[in-house]
Amino acid sequence: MEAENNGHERFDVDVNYKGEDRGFPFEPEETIGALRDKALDAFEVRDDRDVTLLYASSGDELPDARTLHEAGIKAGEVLNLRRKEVIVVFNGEGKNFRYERDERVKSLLDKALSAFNVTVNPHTMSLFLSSGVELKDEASTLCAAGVKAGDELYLRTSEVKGGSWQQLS
Amino acid sequence: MAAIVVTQDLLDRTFDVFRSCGRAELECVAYWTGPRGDASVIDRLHHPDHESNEFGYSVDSDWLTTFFHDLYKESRSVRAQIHTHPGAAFHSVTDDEHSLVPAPGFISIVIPDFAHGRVGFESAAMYRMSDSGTWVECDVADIEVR
Repeated sequence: MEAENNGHERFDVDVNYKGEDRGFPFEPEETIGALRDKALDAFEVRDDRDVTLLYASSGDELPDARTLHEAGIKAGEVLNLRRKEVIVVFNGEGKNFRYERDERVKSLLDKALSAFNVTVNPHTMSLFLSSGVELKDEASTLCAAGVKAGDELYLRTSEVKGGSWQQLS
Repeated sequence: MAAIVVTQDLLDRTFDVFRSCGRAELECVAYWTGPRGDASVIDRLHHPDHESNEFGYSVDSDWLTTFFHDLYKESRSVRAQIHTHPGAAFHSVTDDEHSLVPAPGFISIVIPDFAHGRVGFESAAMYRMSDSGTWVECDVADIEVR
């Protein structure tokens, strides 16, 4: 904690960007957007500033308009500055995809199928989290499905099977 | 130009896996991988965790998650899937719809008789996914064994 200011104590917020931590003195009533701008400048992020956002240590996206107090940010918490992207991996190749908080799983799945030129039996394909959880509810938002910026997702056949008969009982 | 090139050692080990795992009564499956940047190289054999019976196999989902994660980290990709049938080699509807990598250029090889014939591709069948996403049967003579 540092000096008092308008009844709120200044405190240091640590921001991590690409493995590097930096501390920023801040007040609880200042906005996430202001902190983001300072962090972008400090880390000399020149490209895609509008889609490089702050995320809480839980992985939740922090909206620019909120104050640190409203967002529940406490002294010593490490925030992450990341591009609003996920990586989708298909057969060993990874591609970055920008996404929106309210974007549906189906939307990202379709973009990935197109990007990797998977045209056959798209109904058999799914996205999987790195934990192995299949994103079965394609109508769900990515946020509700537990997808966070920087996540690695896997595009693959939902059930990999084969054989001389139709189904394995 | 060969559609696919494998070493005799890799082929021998693949048949060993099929014979020991399948015991002439269960289908079995394996994957051949290589460096992602060089499609001409196949240098590793992977035998997935799977369930199987006389007529089919199903690969464990957790194994697939780890497998694809490792491939990505090591900049590798799967070149071909290869599995056995109890009798004749052909691509079933299940083989068509539930392959490991349904993308153009992917190779699927079917070995007859639970791989208990001579090591090689006699009476085997090979399919390649076309640019339009259909499986096209290819001549197994285009598999080069070095």
